[in-house]
Amino acid sequence: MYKYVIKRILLLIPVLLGVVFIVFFIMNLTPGDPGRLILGESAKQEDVDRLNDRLGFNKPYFVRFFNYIKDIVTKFDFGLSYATQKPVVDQILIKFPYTLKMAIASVFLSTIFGVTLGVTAAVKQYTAIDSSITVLAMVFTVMPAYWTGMLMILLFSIKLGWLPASGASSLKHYILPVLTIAITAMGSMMRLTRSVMLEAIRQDYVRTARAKGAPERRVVYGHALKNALLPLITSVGSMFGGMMGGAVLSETVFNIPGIGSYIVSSIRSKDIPAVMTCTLFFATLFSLIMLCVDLLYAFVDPRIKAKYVNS
Amino acid sequence: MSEKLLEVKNLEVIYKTDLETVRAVNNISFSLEKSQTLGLVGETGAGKTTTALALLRLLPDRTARVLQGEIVFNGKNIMELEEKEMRDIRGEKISMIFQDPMTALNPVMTVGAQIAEALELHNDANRGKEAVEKRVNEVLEMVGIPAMRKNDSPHQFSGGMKQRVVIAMALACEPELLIADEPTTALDVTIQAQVLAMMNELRDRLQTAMIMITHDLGIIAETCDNVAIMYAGEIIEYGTAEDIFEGEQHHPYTVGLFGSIPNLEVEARRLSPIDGLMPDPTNLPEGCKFSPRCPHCTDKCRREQPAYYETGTHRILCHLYSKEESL
Ligand code: SF4
Repeated sequence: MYKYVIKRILLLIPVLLGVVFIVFFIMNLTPGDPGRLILGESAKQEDVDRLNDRLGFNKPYFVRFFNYIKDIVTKFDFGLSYATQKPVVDQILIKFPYTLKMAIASVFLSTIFGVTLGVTAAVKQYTAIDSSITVLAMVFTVMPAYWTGMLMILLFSIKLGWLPASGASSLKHYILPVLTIAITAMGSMMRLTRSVMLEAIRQDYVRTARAKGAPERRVVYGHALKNALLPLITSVGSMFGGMMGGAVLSETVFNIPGIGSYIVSSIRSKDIPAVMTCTLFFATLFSLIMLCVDLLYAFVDPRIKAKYVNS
Repeated sequence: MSEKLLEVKNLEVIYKTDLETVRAVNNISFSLEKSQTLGLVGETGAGKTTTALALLRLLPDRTARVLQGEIVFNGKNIMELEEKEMRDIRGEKISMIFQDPMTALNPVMTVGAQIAEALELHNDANRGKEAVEKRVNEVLEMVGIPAMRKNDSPHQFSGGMKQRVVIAMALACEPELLIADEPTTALDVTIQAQVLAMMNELRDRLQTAMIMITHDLGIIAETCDNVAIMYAGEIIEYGTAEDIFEGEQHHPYTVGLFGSIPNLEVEARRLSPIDGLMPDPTNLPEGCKFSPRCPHCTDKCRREQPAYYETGTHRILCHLYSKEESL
């Protein structure tokens, strides 16, 4: 089993290299040079040139790419932010907790509600309950997060004045942004759960469980849902990854100083090291989450575990 | 005569959807005594499995309707029981073995856990964890599986072994009635005999009554005291194994089933095909339901539903014999 894990972790290296390469390339295409960006519009051209030279900006693309990778591998150095002249990694470490907290809270929320409602809909297929849940799921899925966010601000902050609309200084501040992200994810979770459960409750082993005298709750949650878990875990995993990306929207709308808003402001100011590092950070995180998902599979399904052990 | 364990009276089940009504079981009656075995024979779609599921009240509740009938088990009409009381019967008093062992076990639970679940659900004796585990080992050994394999998952077992696990699970609580729905059909021929022999041995040892659902006359000849032959949701012939295998008179469908009627000594054959198809259960013919395929069919058969012709323990649902009487 651990062999499999090591193999998977080693496989991450080429993936991440590819990501760096692509982002580096795209950034390379954008106009402007770091010297000018750091020193500002009014700086003298020779100062700018000197700085560019020192930063290695005038070297060929591949040499720069190689140096970038080398700095990361040998010194864990991701470069200094153009805007602040401080290491980007420090910035990310300050901002990441905000994003992570929001993502965890919304994954938790949308999974709990999405799965329970989805299961209920499947068990009560063709009833009014099922239809209401399905419609609700559809509405949730099609509402774009920035729009939901705006509506919630209008209702809860401006009209009712219950909750703050921006910032992250207290727990209360998180409620609206978390809800905003969770609602969209909840919609798709409900629909997925419903469809995998519909399939699961028709299986023979579910009938076996009933024939054993197991109460309906146990049949549904203990037997059927356990088998439906695989697709659900995958979806929760990618939802978690997606929420990091979704943070870009909600953090901007709700003005939360997380990585999402950091990436947006870095792009605006063409702070290339910051953008690069954030992207790399997200890519690594996402790959690790998906690795966890695959390992969780083995816990849930002995057939997959057997495959991992044998491979 | 020993005590009646199960008595089914005038059971009628339909499956109703928006589009059509399937008349799956039409007014059947039979009874079963303690530690006896009844064979339910018939083609696919004759209503055998529906009957079995009705006994456990496990019919799909969205489509299936029990229009009438009583199922008296141990003196109680189980049609009137609360769901809670019914759950106490399922798995403890009446167990069922399903046709396909490949899908009957939960793939993500160890076989030991699945057997233990049955025991824990019906834990009247208040067994502790250890006692349950001990019993799990016991029943596994009983069906010929080493107890140390209880922590394996279903995918690590072959088809025959899986069916053994299913049987172990069904017998774990020592039920009074075991319903076996084509328990060997999905298995290899060589394994079939083994599993069947084991089931018979266990039934005799545990004194369990059994309903054996099959389309294999060989199995019936080997295992059953009584036989009910089903066609289009009706029991068209009912009697002791002797009545069926050695009797003089038979329903034309039974005759067709046997091809020529073998006796118990000669090895019984498999079903030989009969001309024509089973009638469409959404649109059953009037009169005798076998009439479109029957070689002895008369006008009366097409018009009138036949009544049972009874001689001793033997019942035949056919005009052929009652006509003779009236002549
Ligand atoms: S009642 Fe008539 S048609 Fe039906 S089985 Fe008997 S002889 Fe054949």
